Amino acid sequence: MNKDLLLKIDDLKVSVGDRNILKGLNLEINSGETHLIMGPNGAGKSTLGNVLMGHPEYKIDGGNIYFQGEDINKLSVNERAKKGLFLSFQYPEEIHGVTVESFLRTSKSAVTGKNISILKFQKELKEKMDLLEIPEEYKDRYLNVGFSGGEKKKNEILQMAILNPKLAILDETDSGLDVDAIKTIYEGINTLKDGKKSFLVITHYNKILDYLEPDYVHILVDGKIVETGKADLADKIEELGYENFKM
Amino acid sequence: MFQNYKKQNIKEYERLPNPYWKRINENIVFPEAISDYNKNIVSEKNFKLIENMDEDLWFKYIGYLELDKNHGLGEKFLRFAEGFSNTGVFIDIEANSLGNKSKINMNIDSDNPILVDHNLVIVRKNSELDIYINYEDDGKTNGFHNGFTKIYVEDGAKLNIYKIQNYSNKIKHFDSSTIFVDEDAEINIVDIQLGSKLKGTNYDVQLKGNRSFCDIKNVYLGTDNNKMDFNYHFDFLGRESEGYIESSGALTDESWKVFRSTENFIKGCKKAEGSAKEYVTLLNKNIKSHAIPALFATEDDIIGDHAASAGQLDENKMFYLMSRGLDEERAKILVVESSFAPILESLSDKEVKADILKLVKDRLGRN
Repeated sequence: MNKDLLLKIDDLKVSVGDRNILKGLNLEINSGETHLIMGPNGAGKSTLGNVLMGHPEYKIDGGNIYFQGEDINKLSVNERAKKGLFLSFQYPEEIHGVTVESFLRTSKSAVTGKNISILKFQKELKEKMDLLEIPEEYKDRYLNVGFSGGEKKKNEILQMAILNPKLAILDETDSGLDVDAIKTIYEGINTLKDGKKSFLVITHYNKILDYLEPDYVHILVDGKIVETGKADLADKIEELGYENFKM
Repeated sequence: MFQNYKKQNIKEYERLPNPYWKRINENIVFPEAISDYNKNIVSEKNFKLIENMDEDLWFKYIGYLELDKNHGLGEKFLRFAEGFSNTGVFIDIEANSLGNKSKINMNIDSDNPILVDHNLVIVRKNSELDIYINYEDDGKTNGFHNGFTKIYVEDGAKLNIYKIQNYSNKIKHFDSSTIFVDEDAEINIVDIQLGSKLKGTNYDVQLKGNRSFCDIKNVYLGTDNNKMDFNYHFDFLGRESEGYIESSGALTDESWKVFRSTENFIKGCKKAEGSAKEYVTLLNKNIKSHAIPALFATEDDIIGDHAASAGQLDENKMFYLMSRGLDEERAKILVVESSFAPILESLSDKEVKADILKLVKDRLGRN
């Protein structure tokens, strides 16, 4: 095994109810790499994010997911989070009665298995909030309650920054946002790159390349990766559309 | 005279059959011998309490104590409380008296396993009173509680009641309150029902006066094979009177719950407004949950609604929380806590709110 290999997906087949969604997907991500997954609606992009994180609604019919060499198919969602997987949700849930700060501290302590001193945590939180241009008062607001679309997405990136995962899966983090919000978010993500952390970015939006430099671009069509290339592959899609990539 | 009153009620009690609650399939059994209750239930107060109901006072209060209608959980419960009460408070707040507070503890232990309280609360014109009532036990004693409280909120007065029932599964808990609200008077009740193996609570609210107001907020938990029956009845009599009940609960294991609400708009209560809402989160499949809302109106010019919903634990919320490292139990507690939040948010007393959240966490996190 390559010593830098972080994630290996081997012939993954996934269904929801009676619908087959992923139909033999293969993917390898090394530490420190950024991979972009692009594809038309219904191709299985969000399914990939959800199944990697272990959503119980998605059934693995075949294949394996290895994370740092370990088969994680049967691991619970929280165990995957503890291993260093993170999913930035396309539609983050609203949790009444739980403040951003209290939730993040609880999460941080759950993921690391350590109690974190309040002062140390507050300092870290402030730094990351400044970085993502999130006003300080947001830490006292209930998690995602009454947040705009952009605020919710920024909050996801804040969670990623605090939890410091090994692999961050960003599911349509740019959807529904204006250009300024996208810029802030991806600039924030860029500052969180440390050469070790890997990113799997799921998107429709090829303008993302203005902000983020992927190592690989994959085209996902009808449950399979049909082409892999460098950043210029995204430009090809812009030019040709997904039709030309169908199998 | 008070003793005669008790004897008369005991006679009535003995004549009545034990109730069978068909919705939760439970024959209610009352204790055969009523032991003394030797604890002082009032731990804090800043006003004078009526310690003993002597003959003179009896004549003063007879009109308040003897009700011409059967309210509450049922006649058997009421006559039991009136006949066998072994404790209770008689509060009479004089007119125009503000800032009154009282803390009451309805505690059960091995020396005091049976608690039967009969209470009278009068908040006279333009006065204010806050009452905090805690229900706790030693966790070892098979105990029984039946309470009956008669409440009068006179013109322009305001009464806030906060109840936190946190009995263990060794206690049966029954509580009836009959409430009369006069013109421009207001009563707000927060009723937190967390424990007890069998619980029945009843609020019977008579919105007599014009612009009389009653708001009840209820949060409940059902665990193990707990059974519970919650009943809220509002009679809207005064013009522009308002009555609201909002209830939020979570049921797990094999618990059973019945929620009943009746909004009765009586001719003449023009522009009255009422609503009954109940939401329950079902944390397990072996649960029985019934909601029986009713609305009657003999007056046209009113606004009344009711809503009830029951849902399984939101899988997407659980996924979201667990994806941040929280284990299933912890995520479940947060989802339930989050479902209670809109009601608890309305509590201005942050300490009470924090206490309630801690109790919810303790109860759900027990596994």
